[in-house]
Amino acid sequence: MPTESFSLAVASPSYTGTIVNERTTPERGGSTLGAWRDAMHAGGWTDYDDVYASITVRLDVAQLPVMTVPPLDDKLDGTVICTLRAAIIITATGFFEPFQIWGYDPGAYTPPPCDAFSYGLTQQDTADTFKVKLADVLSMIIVDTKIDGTVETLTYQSVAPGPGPNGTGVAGWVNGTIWYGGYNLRSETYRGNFLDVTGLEGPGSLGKNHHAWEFLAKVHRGGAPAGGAEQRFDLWLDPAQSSQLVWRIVVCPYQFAIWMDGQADDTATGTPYPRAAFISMPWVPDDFRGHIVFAFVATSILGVFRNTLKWNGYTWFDGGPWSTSESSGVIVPALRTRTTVQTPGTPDRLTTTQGMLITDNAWITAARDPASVFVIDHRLAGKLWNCCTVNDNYPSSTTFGTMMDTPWVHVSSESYYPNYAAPGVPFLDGMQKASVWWRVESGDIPLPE
Amino acid sequence: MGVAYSPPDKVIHADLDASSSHCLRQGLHIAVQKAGWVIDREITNGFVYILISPQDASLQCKVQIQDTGRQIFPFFSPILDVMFMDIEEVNKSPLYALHHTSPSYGAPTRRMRAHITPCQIFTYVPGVTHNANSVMGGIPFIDPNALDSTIDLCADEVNDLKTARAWWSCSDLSTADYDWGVPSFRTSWHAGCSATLHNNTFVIEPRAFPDDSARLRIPVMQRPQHFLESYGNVNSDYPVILRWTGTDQPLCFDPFVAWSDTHPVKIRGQLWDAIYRTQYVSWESPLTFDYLLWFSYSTGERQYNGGAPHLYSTGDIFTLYLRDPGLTHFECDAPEPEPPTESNYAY
Repeated sequence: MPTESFSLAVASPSYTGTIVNERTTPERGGSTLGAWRDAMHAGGWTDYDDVYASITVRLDVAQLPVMTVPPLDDKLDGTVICTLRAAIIITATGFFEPFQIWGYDPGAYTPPPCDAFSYGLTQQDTADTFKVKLADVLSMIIVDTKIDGTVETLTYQSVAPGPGPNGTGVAGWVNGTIWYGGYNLRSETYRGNFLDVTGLEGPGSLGKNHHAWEFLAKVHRGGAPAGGAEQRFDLWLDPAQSSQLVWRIVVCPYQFAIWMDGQADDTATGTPYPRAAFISMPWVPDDFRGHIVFAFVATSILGVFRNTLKWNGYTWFDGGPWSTSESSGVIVPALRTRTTVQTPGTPDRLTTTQGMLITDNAWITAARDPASVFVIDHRLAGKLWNCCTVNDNYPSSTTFGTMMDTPWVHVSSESYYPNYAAPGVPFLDGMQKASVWWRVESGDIPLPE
Repeated sequence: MGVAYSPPDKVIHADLDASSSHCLRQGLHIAVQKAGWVIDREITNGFVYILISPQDASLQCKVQIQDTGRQIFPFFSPILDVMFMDIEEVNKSPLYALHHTSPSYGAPTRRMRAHITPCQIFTYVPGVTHNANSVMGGIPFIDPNALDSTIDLCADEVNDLKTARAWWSCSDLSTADYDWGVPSFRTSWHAGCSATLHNNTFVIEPRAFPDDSARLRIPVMQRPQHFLESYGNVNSDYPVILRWTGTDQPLCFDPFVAWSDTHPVKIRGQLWDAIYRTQYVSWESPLTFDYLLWFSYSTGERQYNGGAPHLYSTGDIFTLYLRDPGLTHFECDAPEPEPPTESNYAY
């Protein structure tokens, strides 16, 4: 087509499925990360590198056996809390702040209000028996040992790549689990570049006592990791909204998206938690020379990601740093017909005379200048793979649709002002209803009738 | 859908002698016939023509071009009346005005241009907007799935909404008072004074001051509403975002035409031999696209940084291009002109 008529940027396979976080069992990490990897494989990504679960154990032999009295808080007089005087400190490092827990004697004391662990250790244990016992309970091996006076620093590592073993052995009563193992997946190569994304499970960006999927996305320019091309993000698995968190994932060779299936926001919790992400290295014309590689990681609360065609997140052009500017996110343009809005009523649903909806390219724009805060700095950066815009919007509970005799997944809808009768800025500038859809080929999708 | 191309030999870019009523009518008469318009009948100081869509001969409308001796403000300058109507002459557009002769508009050497295809016309004077220089209209290209004559009906389509006939028209001067200039596709993506017909629904809009109830328009790309809410008018020249990173190259789109008597407007079809690009250029700028030559028909203010963005401007939102086969010069009382010697057709 000579004009920019609807032309799907096809990347096959294109898969969708769900991942369920069971919130009634602590063994959720391995199974959900495994489901994530399976989904990525189904969408054309491959295993890229080994990721072993690993923790560091700082053992002060001089203080063993484990503390018999919980230490006092230095800052809050009379408050019992853990401090670094503990005999045993376990540190787990993911993509955010390191996560530390301290040892105590669960047989003798009520757990203090701090991070600690119970691992079956008793006051009869010696440093040597503790090290072995810890390795057994975690199904890990000691791969490195450093000794500095009475302090031993040991690195424990899983015996196999992937999510770590059941972390309850060191979880104690705290919410944190410390697998920090996971999978590293690689996209297919596009224009000589590819993405790799590692998924772990840990406390995430909010820190201890939380539970999240932690991700690290890297852009490989010309096959090698590009400088400044790493971006971390996380999806929150708590607080629990129900006993299950059901995620929708859609994957194709150069991009994937994941969000809480059927949900739009987290208003039920009263606190916004990031529960949606869209990672892509978008399509550009064959002869395009405006940039070498562009990638984005859109991650934000569902209220933004799922309800508008403007996605907050991080963008990356060529060798520059990731932009974290909120206004340097991604815009998906859509057709309009209104000049102003002076007619109360529902927003426009642009159709033909037969009521047929208009399907258009899912163009995306982003600001190349990472410091930009202005929309005016946005330019076209590509087109979403397997995606289109449709000039109508839908509730987040709408998951599937059939268009052109193929199944599509509803990604997001512009419904910020669902009613033009509402006061406010829509008066200035009319907007059609619009939504983004992703064509899928396999997975838990209803076949078109 | 891609560009709706008319047969190459039926695309006429006419350079017309508009120094008098006689000369302008004569030039138009020859030019429209070269584009395939059929004479329906001669009337006093004018003709009624039948336009037939190359897509489907059942899609027809009529255009009447006549000098009734009417003059309009300012300067009581003389005009030709152009009227679009259905084949039964029941639903008729207002009388759109085309200036000629007036010293205020270039007489005695005044010239006018017209881009004419078998079922569509756009008139203009280079470098000029408004003031009875731009009249446009025709039968749009219809989505083949929506054509009434389509026999292979889809079971899940609303077939009673098939298109049996359709035409659109607008001009750059209000037909309510013949005083105020109004947006047309020469200056904007929506029309302030228009008349349209789809099947049996006729909508006429003679407004002098268009607002959102103006009926006829070309749907264009924009960012989501959410952005204006976030950033207001500071960044209201948003269409720049629809150019490629680094190269600053715009996108090219099919110019759908949409109208309704109330919102939401419905897409009725597509302009023939036209594209729109997401970049401002000045009037009559040339373009090579799809191995053909084109010229920019629309123009407008480059930016608009306050109030309701782009209400009266085309500029950065888009530029409407028409396919340019090269100018054919129609001189008054001269032998019928030859077509351009260098054709740009790639066929």
